[in-house]
Amino acid sequence: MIKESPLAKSFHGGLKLNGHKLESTGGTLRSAPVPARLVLPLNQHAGRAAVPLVSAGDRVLGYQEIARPDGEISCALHAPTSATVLGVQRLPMPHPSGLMGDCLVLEPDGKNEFGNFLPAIDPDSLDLPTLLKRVSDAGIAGLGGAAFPTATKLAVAAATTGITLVINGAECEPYITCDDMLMREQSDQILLGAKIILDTLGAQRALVAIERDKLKALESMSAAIERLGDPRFQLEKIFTIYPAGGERQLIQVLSGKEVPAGKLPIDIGYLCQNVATLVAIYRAVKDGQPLVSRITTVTGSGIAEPGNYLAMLGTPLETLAESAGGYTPGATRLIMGGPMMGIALPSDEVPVVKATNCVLVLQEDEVRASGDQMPCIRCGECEQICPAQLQPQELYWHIRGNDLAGADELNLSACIECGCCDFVCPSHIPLSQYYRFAKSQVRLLDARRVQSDIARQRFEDRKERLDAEAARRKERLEEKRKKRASRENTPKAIKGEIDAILARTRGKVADSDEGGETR
Amino acid sequence: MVAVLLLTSLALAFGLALGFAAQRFRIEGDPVVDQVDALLPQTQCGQCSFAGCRPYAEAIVDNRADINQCPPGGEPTIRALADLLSREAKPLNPENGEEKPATVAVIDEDTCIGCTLCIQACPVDAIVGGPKQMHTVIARECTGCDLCLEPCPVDCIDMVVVKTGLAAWSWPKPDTTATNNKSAA
Repeated sequence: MIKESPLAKSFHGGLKLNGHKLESTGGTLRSAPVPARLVLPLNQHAGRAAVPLVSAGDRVLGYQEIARPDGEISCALHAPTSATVLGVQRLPMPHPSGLMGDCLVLEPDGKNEFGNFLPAIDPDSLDLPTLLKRVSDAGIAGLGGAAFPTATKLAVAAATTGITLVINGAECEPYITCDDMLMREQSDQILLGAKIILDTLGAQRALVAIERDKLKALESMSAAIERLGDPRFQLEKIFTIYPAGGERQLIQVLSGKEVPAGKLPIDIGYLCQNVATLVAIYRAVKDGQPLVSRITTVTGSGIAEPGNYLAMLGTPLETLAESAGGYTPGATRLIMGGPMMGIALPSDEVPVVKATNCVLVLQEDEVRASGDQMPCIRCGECEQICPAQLQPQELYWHIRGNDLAGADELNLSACIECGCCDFVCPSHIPLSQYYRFAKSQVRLLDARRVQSDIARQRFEDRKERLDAEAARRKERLEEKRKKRASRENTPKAIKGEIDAILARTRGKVADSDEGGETR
Repeated sequence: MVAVLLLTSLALAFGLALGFAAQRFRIEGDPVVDQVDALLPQTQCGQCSFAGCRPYAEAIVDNRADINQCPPGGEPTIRALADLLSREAKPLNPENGEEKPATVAVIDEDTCIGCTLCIQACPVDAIVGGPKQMHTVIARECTGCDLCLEPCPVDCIDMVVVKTGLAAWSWPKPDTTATNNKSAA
């Protein structure tokens, strides 16, 4: 049943990194306390921000929907526990911009009362539309870190038949262990969640991909597969190379097939789901429980007692750090996510969101100073390790010179921002920041182009309308002129016309006189 | 003699073929103008001294105007035009104005007397209202061209800088000065 992936290294590049996993896997999964205030950003998923359904002063029960999705790519939000709504406030968000965003703020009342808003469904009698509706109603977004609305991903996948489900247990980024912990403790629920997808989407098989150094997770998942006894499930042990847990890289490891740039895994028949997302799907179906909490790894040398915590969405990172024994004296850097792809946060007031897989606190000497970059010496190291097979140094030159079109030609959009190039660059150039910058610029320019296309259309429509009006006026004038020209000009004819007009006006005058009398 | 006949008949044949092709595969309008027009921001503000983006595009193609006369487009537009037309990019011509953050017109509805002058001035029909009725701007469609300011008899229109939220946020460009200094040394 357990099989080693056939190739030692089946995607280009990648890095062997020091995992730092043991720090946070010593204990068991613990629950973080209910904080005094829950802060739920309306935009904590990919796509459009959710629309609040409650207002200040309302009392909400646990699991109650408090914001609805806005459009296709969006996610609902639910109250993690019974609470009073304090309203929508602009507060700092866990986002690299440090910008404020609209957040629903709840004050838990400590009663922990939950409503039964979504009826439990028997997983065996589930059809596709019901599943999609339930996943959307439960506000599930990809819990691996990208927070893409799961219902949308499943709906796209449902159009393809005979797909392979990849259960992503390859948690390749250093320090993060929340998926490892979940696989150790809730392996059955992961598989049952996957089974729901297999059954409803008519998928052929499910590959459970786990790195071979996660011994306990392998053991637990292997036993769970044994217990389930479903021949469609297969455990795949893969080599520990960063970023093997990236969707595209993982599929390449498992199948030997590359997902073409600009296409999705589903285009070659693969659907990738993070293990935590599968548990969320299972709970949403079986227990009618929306996504209101997640497992977050709190770790790093800046944390006194690293571990994994089940935290309600909206819990301030401060509270999490406190329950993990607080900060160590040298703690300086707060990162959401891992050390390779995570984002630096300015403050620990920001809340846990659906994407918060890890809170990493590091000490000063572990962080590379930003000022020590040197010129590119064109050594080509970055090209050697780029898992997307790009030319990082070429991209760098184009972006540095603000040549976004040139960067686009080199497939900038295929960059997965894994940070491998930064890591190996002997000149310490922050390469992936250049790519992130360029990608957001491309996005902004595209948005501007859409806007200008609308403006052009409106301008042209207006011009057409004005031209049509002018043409009509000209036509009327022409008609009048023609009529005048065709009129007989004999005195008799003119007199006849004048008489007719007089008769008409006289009649009118008489009418208005009568009207005057009645008034 | 044969050579003369041959060449004449060849010339005739090619002439006919070309004439036919010119009729058959005729393209309406000037495709280069379309391409230039597609790169312009379509604010229709006239700061380039032409009556809208398309006339400016035509002027650029006819060499009546330079590529650095569009303040709303700013540097990215100049760069894109330079790329398309294989010309040298140059800084924005200060005579046409300066690059400013995106704005949107807002009508003070208490002061508006409903004269419809701004409605007639708006190049993209982004103002709604009727005679002696209050007017208002459809903010989503407003290009921030300023053209409605001038005709307003009671000065009730303000240009407000568009609030930039997360959607308009971009990762900052890394500081390149460190490498510049060292490569110059």
